[in-house]
Amino acid sequence: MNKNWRWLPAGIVPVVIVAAAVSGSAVADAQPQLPAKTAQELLEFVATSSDDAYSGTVEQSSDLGLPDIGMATPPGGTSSSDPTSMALELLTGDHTAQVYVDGPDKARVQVLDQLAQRDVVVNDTDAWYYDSQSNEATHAVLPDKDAAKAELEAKLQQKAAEYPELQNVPRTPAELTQTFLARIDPSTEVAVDGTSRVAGRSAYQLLLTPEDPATLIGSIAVSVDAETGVPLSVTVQAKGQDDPAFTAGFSAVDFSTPDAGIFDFTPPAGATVTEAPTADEARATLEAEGTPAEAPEKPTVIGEDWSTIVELPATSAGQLGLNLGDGEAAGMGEIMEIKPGMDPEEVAGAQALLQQALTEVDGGKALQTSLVSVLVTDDGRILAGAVGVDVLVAAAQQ
Amino acid sequence: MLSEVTVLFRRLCTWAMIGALALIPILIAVVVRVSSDGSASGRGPAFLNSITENGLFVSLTALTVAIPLFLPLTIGVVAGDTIAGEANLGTLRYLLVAPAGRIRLLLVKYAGAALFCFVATLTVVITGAIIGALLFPVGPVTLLSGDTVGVGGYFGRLLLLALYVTVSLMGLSAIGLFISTLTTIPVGAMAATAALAAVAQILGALPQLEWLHPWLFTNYWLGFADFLRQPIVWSSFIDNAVLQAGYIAVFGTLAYGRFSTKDILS
Repeated sequence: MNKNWRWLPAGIVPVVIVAAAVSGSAVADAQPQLPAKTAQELLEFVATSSDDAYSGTVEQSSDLGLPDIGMATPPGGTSSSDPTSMALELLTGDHTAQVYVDGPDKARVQVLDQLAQRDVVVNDTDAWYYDSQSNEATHAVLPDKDAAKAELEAKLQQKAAEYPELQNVPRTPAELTQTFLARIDPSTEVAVDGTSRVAGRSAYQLLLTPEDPATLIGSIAVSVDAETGVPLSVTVQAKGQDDPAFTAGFSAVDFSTPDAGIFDFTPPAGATVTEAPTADEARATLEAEGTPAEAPEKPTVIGEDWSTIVELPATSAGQLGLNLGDGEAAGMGEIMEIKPGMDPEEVAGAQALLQQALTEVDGGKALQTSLVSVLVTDDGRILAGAVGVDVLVAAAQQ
Repeated sequence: MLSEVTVLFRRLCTWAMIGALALIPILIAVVVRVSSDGSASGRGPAFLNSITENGLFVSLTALTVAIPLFLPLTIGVVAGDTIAGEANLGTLRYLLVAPAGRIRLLLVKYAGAALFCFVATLTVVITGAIIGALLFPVGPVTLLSGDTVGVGGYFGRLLLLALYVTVSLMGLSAIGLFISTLTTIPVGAMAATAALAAVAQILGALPQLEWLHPWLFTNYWLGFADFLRQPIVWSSFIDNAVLQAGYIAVFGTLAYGRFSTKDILS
């Protein structure tokens, strides 16, 4: 019996570990005391932060009520280089990224995947995207800043001459925020909602609450660093869902200027490098092809503010490779067109996911997430908006 | 301590396991070399497609393959054998007759297992580099971020990487040591340890148990890739070290509780 005390450490250690874990999260929850600020002051503060230099780790997670795309990719693998599925994967999955920013012209974002990484590098003159999984790099030459600015200024002057009321365009951050607040005021409640601690720093909480009953967005909360005005985290709440639909925020941040070498990028030997066309080249290609025989119909916008619905005309579903056929008769193979160069297995996986996510509604098929709904009607129109599917169906029938 | 290490590394069983681990990179390199037709399919373990361009990637591919199964298996054998093996041979009581004390015996046994972790990992990495250099061209290495480091810098990172993997396996070694004090049948302890590693990885693959993941000792096992980024991301190394230290503390004290109160009969 007297030997039983030797079990004591084995009992104490787990208790200490649990206590440490609990107290660690309790400290993180404590609310800092900060001087009060109005919403306008806070927004101006944010607008002055664009010249700041900082680096940090950003964690992003989302709960859109969609099937987990990550389950469809092999372990350790990332999505394909197909931009649509990549965007979907970035939006729906959980990610960690390293972010380096030095003023408005230099930035590097590294999405840290397991055993892989995706990099976006922007410096004064060039932009690079690099995917370590496929060893592919994309390069774009950025338009000359001063020339673009001058061009924009000239255009503004021209417009101002045409429309005299544009003379008093807001220029300073303070004016800009005033205009912004005035524009969103009728539909949105903007408030400073206390303080919080993000990545070990004191932050103001800016809360945007849509007053539109039709929208799915419950609220958008932005944490603004109390010292620098840099937004530290964004949380989007969906109506009728307790967990945030989307969060992205720094888990660690450092406000010292990152090493300049981080913003240099040379594609590694053996990587496939694609040159993205510059704006001028793209324009030239378009002009060389001549104007299409039929000008494409422009998307129509229904509603306003938070419950805005975008309607793409009848031909768009076909152009996107979406073919829903005649309701039930449509097989999986017809939903997405297999384009040359696409991995058939990946396409099959994406199709299965799409099939799973789409629900049959009156007059088409709908994709409902907790923030956005998409309706593909039987006659090929696509409607999308941050509203419920029923609102989309009603809009489609008008 | 020294005698424990010499005993451990004089055993045929230990060398057989190290040899088996060394076979992994050799097998990968030879297969890629023989079947190399230049088709980068984007499938298979990470870094596999980079091997044909740079032989030094054989180490990384081999490590990625070895971490989930082969390394835990060999660690399970070594750690499960620590106490139970001596008990099974009937030598445990003679060890304790010497004034060494039970705590010291536990510490020495654990240190031996930890050393084996490091040697095993280093074996995979170094054999991979050697066989890769023999069969494929060698040059500056492309990191995950698209930056390039020279061969010297790469070996520095490989060493860090081996250290990371060793630290990753320390928690499992502590679990193995504890299980080994529970029984006198070494095979049972070995199997239980290796099985626990598999169970932890299965739990780690289930998205429904996400709240549990940060507490699993396997959670950061594949985080070694953070040493292949530019700049190096240290957060996973720190998180991993804290987690493994927690496992060592819990199972180390459990092993102490069990071993110091146990009646040694064999």
